[in-house]
Amino acid sequence: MSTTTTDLQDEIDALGKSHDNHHHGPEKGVMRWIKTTNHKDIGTLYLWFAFIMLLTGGAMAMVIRAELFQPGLQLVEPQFFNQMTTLHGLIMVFGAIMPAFVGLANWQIPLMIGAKDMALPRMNNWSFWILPFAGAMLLSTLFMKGGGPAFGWTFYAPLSTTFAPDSTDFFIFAIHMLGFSSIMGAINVIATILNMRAPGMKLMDMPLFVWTWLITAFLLIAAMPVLAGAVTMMLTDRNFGTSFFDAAGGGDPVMFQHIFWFFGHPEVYIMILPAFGVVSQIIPTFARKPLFGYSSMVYATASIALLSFVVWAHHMFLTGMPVAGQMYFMYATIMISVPTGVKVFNWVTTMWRGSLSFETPMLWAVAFVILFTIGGFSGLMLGIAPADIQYHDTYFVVAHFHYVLVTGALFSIIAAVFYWLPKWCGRMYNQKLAKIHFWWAVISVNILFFPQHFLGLAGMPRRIPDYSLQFADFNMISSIGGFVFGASFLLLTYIIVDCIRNGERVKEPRVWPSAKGLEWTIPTPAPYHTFDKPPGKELILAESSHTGAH
Amino acid sequence: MISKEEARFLSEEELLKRQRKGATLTATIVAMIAFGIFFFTLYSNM
Repeated sequence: MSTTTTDLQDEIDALGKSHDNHHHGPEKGVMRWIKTTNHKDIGTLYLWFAFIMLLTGGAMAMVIRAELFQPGLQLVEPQFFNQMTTLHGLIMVFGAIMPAFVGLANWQIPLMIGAKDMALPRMNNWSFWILPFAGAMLLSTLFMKGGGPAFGWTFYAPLSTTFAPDSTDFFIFAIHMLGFSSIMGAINVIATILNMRAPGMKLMDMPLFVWTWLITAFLLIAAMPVLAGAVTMMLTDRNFGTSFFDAAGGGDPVMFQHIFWFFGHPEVYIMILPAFGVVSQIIPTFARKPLFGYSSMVYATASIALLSFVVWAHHMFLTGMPVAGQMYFMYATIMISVPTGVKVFNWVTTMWRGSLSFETPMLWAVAFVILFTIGGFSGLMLGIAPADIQYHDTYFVVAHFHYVLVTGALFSIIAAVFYWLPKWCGRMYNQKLAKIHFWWAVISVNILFFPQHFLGLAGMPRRIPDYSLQFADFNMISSIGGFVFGASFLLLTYIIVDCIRNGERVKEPRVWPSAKGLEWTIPTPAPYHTFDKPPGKELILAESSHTGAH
Repeated sequence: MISKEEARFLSEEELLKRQRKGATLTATIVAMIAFGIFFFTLYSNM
């Protein structure tokens, strides 16, 4: 049996049969995308889905910022405003950031470890195709009687149980499906990395993006079932007469918060660890130096992941916790800054005395390092229990997590797309426009989120459609930044579509001459099937981004 | 993971078969862990 240009799934099927059964390329038309088991196709599907959801969630953010442009009620009813804040958060977390990273994992992990495809290609297809239905179900709640969920993305009981609209059951089903998709994706990532690596590639030979995704996948396996448990209990409380979170029936609403944040805090790291991996690939390329402290990066990532499970109650300092509990959660939280500091130190040290150049991916990566660190520092402030009494549920929190998730996670996703897009499609984007877009976005995003620190410190609560006059100026500045930042995504859409359709053709396998990694050894654009023969140990070592010269 | 030495004596099909066997086992174990955590979350709140 010849194994050139075959689908892994076809080969798997053929292993159990006696006849040859393989394709020589993708199917034509829409069925290619529905039936595909190819990791590149599925990666593309994930990335487009995430982009559509990003624009949808972004449109909701525009409604929020428009309403907050001035004090008083301008555009929408308070109930609809609450639906917007809730769905904006849920869509960005579960519909945009997480699927975007899974898309990057699908495209890159097999290419980076010299594997033919993901380990379980059919499950990969299923993991993706659950998403559009879950996303549509979540969005459909807006059009139901009583409106969509309006209790915030944290869906605290009893707001989400006793006092929630009927559409909440659809929300619960959507969360179940999104969680199921994530768990299947994580199983696939773990099985692929542990079992499908090119023979001879040791764990410590793996690129950092692969390492961060392996650890993220274990976080998903440990955290998502807890979320599934929480929404299952919500479902039974709402419909089957149980009282898990109903104090009147002997339940405990605070228990909901414990369960939610036991999922929710690792979830933050699920969204940021792959970002660390992306940045750790990009910086060595454009600093033309091996990554500084590779093994310390791996151990720091694992430490962050472990610590993420023992700090959840720092979100709950105001629920009435014993002082000993506050002290423990405060110190444990602050401990996370140690491995995070190791990472920032290593990125800066990789750049130190490097032969730096600032192509578009590098600009985004450097912006990530600086702005994510600001988000990290405000996180430290929030982790201090006595200070959190002042900051809790204010716009300071909103500013903090948007610095982490927008200028952190989202910026790294944009960096990754600008880094690997020419390899994926064989065309280079308009670099001048891409740099204009970078400066447009990076300036406006700071106008959007930085004033929110001041609003929070002055006491403006989050999740309100109206506010006191004293907060007017900073809100107006923030809204203007929001509209300008939102508009920057129109240019981003143009740059990407223009690249795919009309971009200048790139033929060199190594699109960025100083880039290292197995993905840069295959032809450009990446063929539909790659690594029919696994790469040898010499190539693996020669292409290591953390050893040798660039 | 299959070592370089082991892989040298395997055909492409045999290598894929070995990798697939390991991947299926890994996936089964990980899926069982996920189910276990789900049911433990429910059980611990009963």
